[in-house]
Amino acid sequence: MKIKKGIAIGFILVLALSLTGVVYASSMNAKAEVKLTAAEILEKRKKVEDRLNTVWQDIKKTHKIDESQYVILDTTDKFNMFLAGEMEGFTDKDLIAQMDKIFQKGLVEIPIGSTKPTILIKKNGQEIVFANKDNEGKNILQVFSKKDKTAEFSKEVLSNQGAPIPAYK
Amino acid sequence: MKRILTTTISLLLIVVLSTNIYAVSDHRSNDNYRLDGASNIDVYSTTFEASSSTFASVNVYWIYLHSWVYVNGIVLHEEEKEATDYNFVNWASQTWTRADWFDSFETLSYHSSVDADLGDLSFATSETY
Repeated sequence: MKIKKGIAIGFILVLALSLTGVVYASSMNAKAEVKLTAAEILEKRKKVEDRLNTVWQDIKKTHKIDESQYVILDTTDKFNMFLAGEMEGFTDKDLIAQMDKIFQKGLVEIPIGSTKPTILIKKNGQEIVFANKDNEGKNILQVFSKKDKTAEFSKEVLSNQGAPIPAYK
Repeated sequence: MKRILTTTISLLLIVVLSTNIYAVSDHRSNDNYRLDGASNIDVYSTTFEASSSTFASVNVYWIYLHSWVYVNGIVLHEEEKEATDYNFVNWASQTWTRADWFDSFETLSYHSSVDADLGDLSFATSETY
């Protein structure tokens, strides 16, 4: 009787340890950080850039945007230079304050399912544009502009149907 | 009594150390204070995590953090946090289960602090995977 009891306890212990091992291994596997090589990281970034560039070309076409009139803040470094007032030709305090206001007051809408926006500053310093594509393929421009240097900025939203969001490949 | 004291001190030490090892991606300073901000992405085999924070070295009138998480260039998540008369806002790490099509990950955060006496600071951080 004592032997049977011992076997039963032993069996339960083995089972418990095995299950614990399986659960632990599964969680560790799920948590195992994915490591990429530098080449793989570059490849991923290029795929995203290609996708967003295709979106930008479609936005330019449907809204007839003359890109030469704008500077694109396409990197965090450029964006930070602008915010710090260190970007040549774009040191106007009103323009920088407007960019801060857009973020701080939540004036720009970039909803879930839409593409990462392209941020443009017009070279005359009187217009900030957020351009992106929504999940139905509409090309959306959120334009913050003022008529002259002394005027207040006002917001206008322009929408044109474009191609669907391109496949990620 | 001694044991309670030791435990309390140990816990406090852990809290202090945990705060100090938080990853910082970028910062901006003026003559009065420094603003630190971080954007983080951790990718695992079946999940990924994103987090961000904004921290001023002194109490400021208003501190603000607005973050977006992009997957393959598409917005997956947006979150904003603010605090008044405070110096720290933290968007705690969130975990998502990875879908088959999740490949590239990016978190983009706008950090800002506003203070009439000490000055305003703002900048962005971005972490891409």
